[in-house]
Amino acid sequence: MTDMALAIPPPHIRRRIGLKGFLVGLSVALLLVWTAVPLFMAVMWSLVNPDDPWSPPAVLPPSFSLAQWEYVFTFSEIGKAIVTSFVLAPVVTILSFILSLPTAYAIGRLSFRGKEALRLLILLPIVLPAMVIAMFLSRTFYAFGLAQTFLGLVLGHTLLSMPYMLRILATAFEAIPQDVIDAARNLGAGRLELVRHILVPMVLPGLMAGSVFTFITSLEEFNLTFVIGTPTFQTIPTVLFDYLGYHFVRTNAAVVSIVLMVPSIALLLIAERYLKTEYLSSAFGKL
Amino acid sequence: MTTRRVFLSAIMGLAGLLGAYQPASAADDLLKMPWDKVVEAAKAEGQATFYAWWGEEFWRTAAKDFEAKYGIKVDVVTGDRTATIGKVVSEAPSAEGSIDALLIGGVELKSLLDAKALYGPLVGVIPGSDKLDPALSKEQEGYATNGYLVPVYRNQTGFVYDPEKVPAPPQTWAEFTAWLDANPAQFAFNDPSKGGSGQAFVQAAIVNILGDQDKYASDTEMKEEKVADWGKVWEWFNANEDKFTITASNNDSIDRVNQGEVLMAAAWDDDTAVSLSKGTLFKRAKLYVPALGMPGGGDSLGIPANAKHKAAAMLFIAYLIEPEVQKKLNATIGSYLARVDVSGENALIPEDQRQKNGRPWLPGAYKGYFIQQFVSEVLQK
Repeated sequence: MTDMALAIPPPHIRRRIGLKGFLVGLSVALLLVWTAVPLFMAVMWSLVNPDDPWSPPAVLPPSFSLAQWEYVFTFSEIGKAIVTSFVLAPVVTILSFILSLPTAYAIGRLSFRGKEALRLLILLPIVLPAMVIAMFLSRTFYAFGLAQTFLGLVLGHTLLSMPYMLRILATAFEAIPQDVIDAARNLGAGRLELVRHILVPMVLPGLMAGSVFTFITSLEEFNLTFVIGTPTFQTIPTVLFDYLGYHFVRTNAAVVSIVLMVPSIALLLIAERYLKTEYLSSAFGKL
Repeated sequence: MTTRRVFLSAIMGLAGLLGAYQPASAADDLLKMPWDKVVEAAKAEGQATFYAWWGEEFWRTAAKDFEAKYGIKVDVVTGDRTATIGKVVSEAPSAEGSIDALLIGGVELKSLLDAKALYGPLVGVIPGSDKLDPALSKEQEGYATNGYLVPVYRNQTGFVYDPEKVPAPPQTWAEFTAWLDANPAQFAFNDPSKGGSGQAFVQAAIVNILGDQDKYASDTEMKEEKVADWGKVWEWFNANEDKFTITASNNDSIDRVNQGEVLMAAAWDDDTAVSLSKGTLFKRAKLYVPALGMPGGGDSLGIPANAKHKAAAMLFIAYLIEPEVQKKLNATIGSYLARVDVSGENALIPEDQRQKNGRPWLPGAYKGYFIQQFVSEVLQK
């Protein structure tokens, strides 16, 4: 038997590799279709020349123009909205992390009565319809003078996006094996060393995943921002809803969608290596 | 329950809670002042905030021209329709709200009046308001406006079609049903819970199948005996379900015409004008109001009771209904002028056709009922 013959796997293994390869290829292709096609269509619609409509049988717009982009940047507050959105989202993410940390640790590492009920309660802000929350919560914001302020927007967004950070972070704390903590303690690690060498490195992926979700939730929040933030503050979604609402304008909606979508996709790709499926499924899959 | 209905229920609920509340207004005098004093007060205020849910090009251009004329800066926010009304209602108990003037549809009138959230009456006080469409100035969707709403444009539903493939579009109900038989699935209208042009077609079917639209007029509550025979309409829709294409929104219907998926669809005149100007509908497309009758209405301007800059808001509204500004509105967003003493050039539908074949909407109580009935008796069957 030659070396070559040894290198070729037997037929049943080959069949398995072939099937696996086919399934992986199919998943990648489906994923591409799922994400790339809408993005491609949005780019195409955003470049339609208003004087040269895109109608069948034309597969692509017959001519391209930046008129739709010019229109959105001329007749909306999209420039200011981009700045507000991208200043707001990081602040909200940091505040969500700081506020979530003690509760997430308690849920993940400690035993107490009502823990499961608390887990469910945390999800309330994302289970209730956003407009209902916005309308009733806004009364509190007005009463405390927080409407039309940046601080109000930060607090509002934090409230709505914190459940993601809390649940994912709690799951990350829960996933740390007690043995590792006990071993570190037996080897003489103090509280600070335990945090630095055990807790932080092991919670970091959960923190990254939670941050991505919090960031994107803040970036896409519409209802509360519209009620308590406008007219002083506009974010990308408050501009987008103008084109998505009752008078849907596909070309302009495409422009604003790209503005909103591209940073989100880039963020997800950057954070992809930290996104562990088990964190997400354990955080949100066992309701 | 659809999301929109959840929103509306929340607004109605909050409106009910706030109904007893009436913020004290030091600006009542504005309504009794001579107009030049209102202009002076507006200039002293120096700014205003205006909310609309579409038509940003027109409102922003008008705001710029208004600032050049009076030196008063108007911030324009264009966002979501339901959210804007929600914002007004939730701000109503505050002494000062953040909106000075806004675009309001007839369907929202009841929530705002119930919450005592509007300032006025404005019709008769604002110069030029006596030249606006008289029917729209008095009543919208079956509710008396009591002069709180100032109509700013009219809009009309009709059928948009491809004239190359439909050289002689149907006019009467008999012609339309014959056309449907000959062209199955080539007519589109949207789910009436998702937009007005679909509601318009369902109303047209009710009125044409059962007759006598006048019997519903001015009813603020639905009368059971008047809807007892509506089952016949749902039977007709169910019997002909294969002959229609039901779409997801006003613009989805227009998009299906553009894609060549259907030959004709129920559509708004202003949505069609916007689609033509944006390159999302082929230029040869035509819109008409068939003789079988299609409803039309319009949207209006109003001022929240707790607006900070009421005089500036009144002056801005007066500016928006000036003849030349109304013509610009028609040229920019395609909606038809609310004034009846001047006409616009960018009308997709000729005025005589609008007058002859346009119909008023059924009162809000009946409209709400047929939307709900269509969903349960046709879409869910």
